[in-house]
Amino acid sequence: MRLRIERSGPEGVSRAQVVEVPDAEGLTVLDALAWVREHVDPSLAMRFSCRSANACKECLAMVNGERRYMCTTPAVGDVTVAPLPRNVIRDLVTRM
Amino acid sequence: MSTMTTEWPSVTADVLVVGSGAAGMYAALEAQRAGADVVLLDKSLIGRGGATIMAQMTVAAALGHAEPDSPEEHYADTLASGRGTNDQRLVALLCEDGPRRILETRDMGVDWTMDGDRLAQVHAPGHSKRRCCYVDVLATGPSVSRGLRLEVRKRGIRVLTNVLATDVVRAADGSVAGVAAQDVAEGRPVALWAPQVVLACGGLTEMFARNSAPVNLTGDAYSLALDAGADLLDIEMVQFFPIANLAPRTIGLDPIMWDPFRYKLGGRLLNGLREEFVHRYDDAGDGGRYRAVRDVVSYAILKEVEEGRGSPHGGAYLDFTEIPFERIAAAFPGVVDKLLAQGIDLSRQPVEVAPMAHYTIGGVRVDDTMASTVPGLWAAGEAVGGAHGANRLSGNAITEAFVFGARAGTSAAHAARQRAASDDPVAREAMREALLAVESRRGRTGSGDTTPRLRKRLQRIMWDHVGPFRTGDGLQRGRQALAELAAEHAEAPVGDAGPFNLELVEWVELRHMLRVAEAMVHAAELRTESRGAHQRLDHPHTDPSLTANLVVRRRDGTLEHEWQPVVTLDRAVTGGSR
Repeated sequence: MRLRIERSGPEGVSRAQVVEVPDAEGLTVLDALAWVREHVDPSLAMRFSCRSANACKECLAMVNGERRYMCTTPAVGDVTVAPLPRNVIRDLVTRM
Repeated sequence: MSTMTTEWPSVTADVLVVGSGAAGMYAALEAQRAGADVVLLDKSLIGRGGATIMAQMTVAAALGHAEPDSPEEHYADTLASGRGTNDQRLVALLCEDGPRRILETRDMGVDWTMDGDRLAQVHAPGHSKRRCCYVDVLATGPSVSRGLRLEVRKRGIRVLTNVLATDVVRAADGSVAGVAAQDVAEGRPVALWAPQVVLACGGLTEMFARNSAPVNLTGDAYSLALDAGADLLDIEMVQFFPIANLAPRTIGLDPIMWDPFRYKLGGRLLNGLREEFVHRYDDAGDGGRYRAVRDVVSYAILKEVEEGRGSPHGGAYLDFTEIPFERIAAAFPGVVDKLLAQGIDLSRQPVEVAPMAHYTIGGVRVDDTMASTVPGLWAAGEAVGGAHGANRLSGNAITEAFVFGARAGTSAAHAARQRAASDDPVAREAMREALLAVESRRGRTGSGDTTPRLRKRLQRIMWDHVGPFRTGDGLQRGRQALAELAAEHAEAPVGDAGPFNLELVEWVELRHMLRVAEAMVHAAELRTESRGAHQRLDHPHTDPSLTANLVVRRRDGTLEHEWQPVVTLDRAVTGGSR
């Protein structure tokens, strides 16, 4: 799958990073981002805690333009992930 | 270096609570109630990052709402499951204080499932009574977290989010002076000054490749305690949850949710040949009744896999296909829909399950006020060692979080009244050094493995050599591999300055995990027997002479140990509805 990550700094400067992530059964957007951190760029910042149970509700972001929990959104085909619109701290992390 | 002269921000409190799962939130609430100025911090978000929010299961308390019950019977069941090494004073406290805490959380807004005007209570393995409360459907942890979070907010407790504790700082007399931390969101160090520190950041399951808990559980409490000179107790004891989800991959569901499925529906646990097998390892057997306790089931599944009778992905089948779809759907509305959406119909196909690291049975050695062996340092919840012996009963973890959290908060607040914070030059220097040791990692470059990769390697080492089955040789190999990893960790690249540097967080977490791993290997080598969660294939039997608690501490950079006789109770267990 192809993951496009809109990365931001506190000044709101955004740059897009496009990464080809290997497809896997049940792959989620959060899994794909974890793959990016492990294999491409560990500096990528995002919020996550319970990983896949959708209990902690920390991994909220804009996925293909909609507010979604990254841990429950399948990563198939082309996916764009961006931070929530306001109070960006870094990359996909916003102040909560 | 310019940062050495920078004046870093600081926070001051009477009582500092590290970790904001149920134990930390309860500690903060009770410390405030006892008159202390409290600060509650979490490296994640308040009430979201700890283990509590993942606790979908049940909470044990002898309320006697479903049938006559008493703390004394809860106490007896907990000891029976613990394989002889429970701290009986801690168990008594857990069982006596549990019921009122459950009712208290109901008043805070936790939506305990009711049966008329009484709490619904179900049976869980190892409990002789219907004693286990829950929030429907699979919502216990989130509801508990929410209730306590609201109470923390209502009571105006000061909170710090995304603040990572790196070191406990001590004064010249050895007592606690505060905590060195990283403010992750701001991207800078912060000095937290408090004469009383409650470690409510227990849990270490992230140290294992297969685990069922949030990513934050990196052994912080045990590492902080060990580094501060406190005693750890039975740190070799890690509970492996027997039937965590292995395959197919499920999305948006807790990997251990099959447990409540078994409470309500039964189901059958089968090996790769589709035979029942648990009875071969335990008289209680399985037979759809779900009676065998956790260590037995974990052992049985892994033994079947080892002997070539595992399921395709290396576990066992959990089979509900003899149960009509309507009954399954009625028991778990919503959840069953989520499964169907992912192509999983439990009435037609079995799933695969396997043991995964789930809970830390060992922990910080405390007395029944939750005081560690270091003045000013307290522990609460999963951070505490001793209550569960060698095998924790299901349902006792959240109870422990409430009860031990409350007790630690009260004790720390009382102690704060006796001893004010002192402006101690030794502590100031220790704080400066601790903050700098982490802050100076920023921007470190190198060609070695990055922090996400180092973490994966540690998880693999621990699973392979320090996991559910251990041997002397394997532990020795684990020790060597960990030493190599520690050397790489010391040189690891950490990324730039600035806020939300996850690499820096992971670097600190790895430091915590490596410290705890070393202590765990040490303890696992010393316990040359199999008892509950600790299974040594080269010492398959329980050694009655080791019915004792193994204490490990660090002195001058070296681990030392001693065997302590089990703490017994010299009074009757009281309270209850009978």
